[in-house]
Amino acid sequence: MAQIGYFSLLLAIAVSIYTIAAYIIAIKTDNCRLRASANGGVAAILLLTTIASVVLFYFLATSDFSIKYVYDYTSKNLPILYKLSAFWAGNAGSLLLWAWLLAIYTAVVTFLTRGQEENIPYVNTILVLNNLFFLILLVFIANPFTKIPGGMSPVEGKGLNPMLQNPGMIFHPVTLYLGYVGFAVPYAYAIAALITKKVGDTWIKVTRRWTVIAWLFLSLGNLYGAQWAYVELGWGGFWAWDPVENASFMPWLTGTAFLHSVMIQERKDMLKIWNMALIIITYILTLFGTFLVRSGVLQSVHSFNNSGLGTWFLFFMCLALAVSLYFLTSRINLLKQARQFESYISKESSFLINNLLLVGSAFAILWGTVFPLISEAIRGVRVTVSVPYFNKVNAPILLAMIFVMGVCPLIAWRRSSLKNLLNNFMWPLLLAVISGVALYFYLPGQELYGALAYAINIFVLFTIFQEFYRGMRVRHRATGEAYPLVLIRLMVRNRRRYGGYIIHLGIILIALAVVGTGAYKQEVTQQVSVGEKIVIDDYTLTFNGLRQRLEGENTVVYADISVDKGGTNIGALTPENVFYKTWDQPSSEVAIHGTLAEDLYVALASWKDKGRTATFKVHINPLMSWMWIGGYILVLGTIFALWPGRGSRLGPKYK
Amino acid sequence: MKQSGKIIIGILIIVAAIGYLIISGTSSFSGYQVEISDLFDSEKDYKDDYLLVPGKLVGDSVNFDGENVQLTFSVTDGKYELPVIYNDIEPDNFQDGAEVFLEGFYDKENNIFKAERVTTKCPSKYEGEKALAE
Repeated sequence: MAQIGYFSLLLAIAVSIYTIAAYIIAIKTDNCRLRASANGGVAAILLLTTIASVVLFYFLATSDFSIKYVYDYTSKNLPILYKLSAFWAGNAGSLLLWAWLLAIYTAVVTFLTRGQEENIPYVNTILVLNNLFFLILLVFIANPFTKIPGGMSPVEGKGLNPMLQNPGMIFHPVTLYLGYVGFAVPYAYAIAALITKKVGDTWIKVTRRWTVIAWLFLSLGNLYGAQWAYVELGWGGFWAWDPVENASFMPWLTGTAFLHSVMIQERKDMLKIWNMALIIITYILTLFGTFLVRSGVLQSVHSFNNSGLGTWFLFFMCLALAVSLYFLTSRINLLKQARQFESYISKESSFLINNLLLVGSAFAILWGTVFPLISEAIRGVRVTVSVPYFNKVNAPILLAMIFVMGVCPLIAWRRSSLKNLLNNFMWPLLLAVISGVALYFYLPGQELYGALAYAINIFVLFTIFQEFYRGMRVRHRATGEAYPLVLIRLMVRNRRRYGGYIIHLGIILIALAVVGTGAYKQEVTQQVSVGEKIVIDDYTLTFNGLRQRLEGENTVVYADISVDKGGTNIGALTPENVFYKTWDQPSSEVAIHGTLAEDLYVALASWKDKGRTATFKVHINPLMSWMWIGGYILVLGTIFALWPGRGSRLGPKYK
Repeated sequence: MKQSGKIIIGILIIVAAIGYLIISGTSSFSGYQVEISDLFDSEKDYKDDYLLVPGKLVGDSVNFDGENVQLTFSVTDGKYELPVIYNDIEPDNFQDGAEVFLEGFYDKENNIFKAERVTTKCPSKYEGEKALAE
């Protein structure tokens, strides 16, 4: 059985090499049959990686501990979902997941894209080359089918790290990888366009859907990661600027920039070099993220041990960068833009600012992340920047970005007038200033930064509402339809535009949660004995004692806490510590009382005197739920914007 | 002035602002990564330097004072033992031999490290330890 998995990977290498060669020869000789055969190679790679993945799933599901990977990451009594999701708990499996997803994507590009026959050989050569790299790693460096030496088959495995036993484990890695791998497709199209010297906006039109979907998955991957950290790590936050978190946030930022700047190319034939550079950077950053995770060069909660994989990724990343830059610079004359900016107050320039801010933020994060390596190389001492660096530098950049997000959709193309600006922004600006001032005095601590950040978000919120309102009013006057119908038709007939607004709305809600928890969170760590109370804001938590229960073969110690808010009882919270049979350390399960206004978050830290005294960490995180609500709205908006058919097309080109 | 000139000036202003944020941020929020032996062997007293120190946790030394929410423990590099105080709760995987990463200030006079942030990296996390017969 293990041989089947291993040999399919080995065979996939051979098929990949054949496929690449066949495509290149087919391009040179214009040989249609060879091209069809290479397309068959793509299907074969998909089949072989699928077999390998199914075999690994089978071993995991049946707990075959003679396979080292299964032994290392699972145990007999692990719930089946976690047995299966242990697929991506370690290096070898996550590489296999990557190769498998890439094979699926390549097959979709090959067989489900219409009207791109002449580009497919170029695009696929790049994609299969990518996959060849992963397959080589799988076969020669990190083989998931390695058996335990000596042919032993232990009766019990080492178990899955308790922190990975969370629904986040099922969603976070998969969505993140779908996003990472997804950016390979627009990248491949971009390089193909450079190679074939057809650098018009065809590659952008063809890959728009890919880009948006990859972006969506990357957004989801980050959000699921944030949620997982929030409920599992017990320190009360959702984001710690850990190198690996940064590694998934950077391509999101540059990918977002790309998503926006291609609109300028579609509409105005501008920013062509910039767009090429952005997609190359985004793709390289996805590899860089993987390099960081595998190499162990930086301190991180995520680090997989250094297994020599880091060097390989560094090598492949440099290779990809060199090849990309070669094609970009050798074709740069083709990319010169014919059109100039006509005014510095225009939609074009606001897109440019949005791009600068997004890329600037990504650069600041990159700088902070690799600073220890740079300083060690130059000065011989490792200088590390701490968490406040990332907050202090990114907060102003991202706030400015959000402000531009309000301005950008409403400002006129080419040249905007003062009248246009007043007309569009007077009310949102006025309402934002009023609410900002009101919040400054109303909210505790009188945080200037917090109130300003809220005001900027509120400004954007009102510009979005205003856009909906105006669109509806115009359509209502023109057609006389009833208002609910007007709203539906308006949105359905301009899906790209209104989908975009919905996504912006989702982002604003997420931003509100970030500001709320960032500027207005309250926390207390306190030791209490049975009957004693912890008071935080208008909550009173009474500790009624520690209890114990059995859950399968795990022992759960939980605290019984009754919670009062403003004098009325709102229920009980039970933060837990779970002791696993296969793991030394207990894992903490926090208890959260969530409302739309705020989360009351309680973690059980430690106890003594047989549980008569315990220490708790209690947080109030304002607006936290809106982060997850915003996430769902973002998904809805993206699906809405991508829905095919009438109304999904872009408006006429503006020349 | 031509519009393109104004655009370029605008771009430069944004780039300069971001550059300023990065440079000022780096200088105010950076710390030196040093080894435990550096703290003991070096003449330097590292006063006012924000330090990052890796070490292995000495399991027996861990003591938690719940009344004052104060955790005290020691980390070692095999040769020296560095006492640490930390005004917070135990991080995850805080067990004997765990790789601990300290951030904070070193008080050379009293030989104590005042940690502001403590993170752990469990040796067996994600990548399993060497298998049975290896």
